[in-house]
Amino acid sequence: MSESAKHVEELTIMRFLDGELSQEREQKTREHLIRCASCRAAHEALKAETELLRAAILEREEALPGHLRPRHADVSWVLVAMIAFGTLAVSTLWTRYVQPIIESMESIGLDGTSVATSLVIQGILWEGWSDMFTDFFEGMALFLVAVAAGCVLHWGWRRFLSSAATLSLLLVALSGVLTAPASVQAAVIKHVETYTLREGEVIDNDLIVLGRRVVIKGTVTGDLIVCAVSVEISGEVQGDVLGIARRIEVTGSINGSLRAGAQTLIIDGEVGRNITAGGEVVRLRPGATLRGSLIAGFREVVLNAPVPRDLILAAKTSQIDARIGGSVLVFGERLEVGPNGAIGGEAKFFGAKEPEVSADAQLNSPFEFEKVEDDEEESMTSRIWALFGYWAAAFILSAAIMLMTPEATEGVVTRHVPDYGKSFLVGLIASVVLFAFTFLVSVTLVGLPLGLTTAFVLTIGLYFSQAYVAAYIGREILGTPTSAGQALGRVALGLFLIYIAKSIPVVGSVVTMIAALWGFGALSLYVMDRRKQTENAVPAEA
Amino acid sequence: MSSRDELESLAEQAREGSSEAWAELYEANAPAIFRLCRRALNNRQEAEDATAAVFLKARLRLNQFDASRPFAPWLYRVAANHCWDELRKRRPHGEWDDAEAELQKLEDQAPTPQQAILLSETKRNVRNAIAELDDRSRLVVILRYFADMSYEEIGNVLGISSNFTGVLLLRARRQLRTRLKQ
Repeated sequence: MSESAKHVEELTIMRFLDGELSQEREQKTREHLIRCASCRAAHEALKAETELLRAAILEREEALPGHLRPRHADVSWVLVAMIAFGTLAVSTLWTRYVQPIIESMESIGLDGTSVATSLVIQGILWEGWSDMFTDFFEGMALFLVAVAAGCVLHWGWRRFLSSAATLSLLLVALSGVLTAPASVQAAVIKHVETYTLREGEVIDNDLIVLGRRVVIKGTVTGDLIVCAVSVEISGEVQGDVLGIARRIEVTGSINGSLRAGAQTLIIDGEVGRNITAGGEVVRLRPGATLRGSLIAGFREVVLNAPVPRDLILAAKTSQIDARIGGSVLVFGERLEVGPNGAIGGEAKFFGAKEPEVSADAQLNSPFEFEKVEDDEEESMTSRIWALFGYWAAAFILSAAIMLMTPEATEGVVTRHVPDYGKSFLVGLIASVVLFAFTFLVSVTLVGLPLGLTTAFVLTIGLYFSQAYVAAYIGREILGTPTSAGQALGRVALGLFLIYIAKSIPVVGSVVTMIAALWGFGALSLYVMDRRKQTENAVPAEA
Repeated sequence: MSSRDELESLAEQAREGSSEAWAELYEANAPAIFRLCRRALNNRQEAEDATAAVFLKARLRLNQFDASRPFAPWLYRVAANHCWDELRKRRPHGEWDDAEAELQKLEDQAPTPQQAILLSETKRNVRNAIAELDDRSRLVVILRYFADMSYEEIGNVLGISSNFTGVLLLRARRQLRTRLKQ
């Protein structure tokens, strides 16, 4: 008998250690180990090795991911913290930003019935209001940064933090930022029914007034920010004027620029720099002096006083009967240049009709007119090029999605897209709901970033969802792909067919809509499926 | 942490429809099941999905559970089967290295204590080496030393004999030694 036959095999020792030998063999092995030093050493070494293996495998170096944690654990402090800090943040936002806006809008006669108007006027004045709302925008920027940081944080720390925990941490941080005392603004703030700055009175600072009727006869050395039903400036404002009002009349002087949103804006006095305005009617009366440019979007613009620099108008009807020093660019339906009209620079009109220029008007160069028509005839070549370009762009995006999320793509394309009726319906409902949500959230202004983000995601989502439909069409024609390359080929083919169909008038827009909603619905179904899977498995405490 | 008997009575309550009992069972076992799947599948994302799937299956099969027997090993078996199904999906044509001759040789080899994995080796290194084993060998090691399953139970999951399970386990341990020596 050879030496090794006398010894116990390694496998036997391992089975001995694991309790996997029959009683008889276990007894024999035990006896052998007592007698044989070499096998005993092997036994010891294997035993130590087993312990090390067990310890290494059992070591807890990774916690259960947040979303797999039972949800009742979140309910405790996380939810309480979320609600508390969320309420704090919302109420701070509300009292500091939203309420003043609503109040000032009501005081100038804009109420809920004309939300759209107020949004439009605000939109026009966005830049103008920046002084007043700097910290509002900073808050928004902070919010967006916080959301981005939250995503990164959540992604990086998802082993340790659940979504709810991340969210509450962010809300804590955000409410901390918001409730921190705002930088003290050096301004005189008035909030009254009627405000009059009498002749001879001087405000040696910025003046912010919210009221029904505001009359400035005295002097403001800083900027004037005003929100009222009617505003008369017959005194002097040495800085800029930013105003929203039903009627603004300037008979005095503004040394800086005027930025206004008003139903009627009348300038009879002096504006030292530029005017940027939007609303219903603007008149620059004969006696007015403007030293800068004029940019205005109005229904009707009448200029009887010279504009020394450029003029940009977007108005249904525009009348120019004064000298314009710079170039003129007008968009609208009708443009009249009267006998006193003169233009120093280039003149361009984009409109429905030729500009009516008086024979006495002095133009540096003839009016360049471009007729604006709704349907421009495109040449066949350019349409083909455009088609190719759209197709290529869609293909690159689709390819990126498919290569990055092969599993999801496979799930969507094989499981949900073939169920076209359901997918389309779900896509329709999902996008209507998301769109409504976007709209409602945006109207509150506070939710604007969230609304914009949702709208952005929805648009992108609808756009790339056609990739799933394309993949499905491609597969129906060429069969199931066996490699990534083949899969991409099918997507390219599917997209090509979709884009050909899209280029047909009328039918094209229907195809676009169907492809987007169908794919989006399939994607939504896939996401819901996965959520359900986790939800069924992860218990939620009642 | 719940004691053994407690888990079994919870399982009984859960079987009768108590979602609170099920929540407790989940809480007590989910971390372990997640780690088991994590080690067996070698992929975090898949392990997360697998953990959810294992509990879903377990809940649906709860009526097959015999409350007179321990709950954790039963749950581990559900997890083991699920992980094995997942691993087989990765290798649809499932050819494993079962060369009879080579494995035979393994059985005849004398013990080599001096080759055993050194105790000075860090647990992390050991884990990394385990992660590099082929799918089936890794699963055998995990089921034996994490889930504490017997060779026969492992064999049932993998569809092999208990003897062959032992052979696979020893071969895996030898591969670990070679890897860790490098």
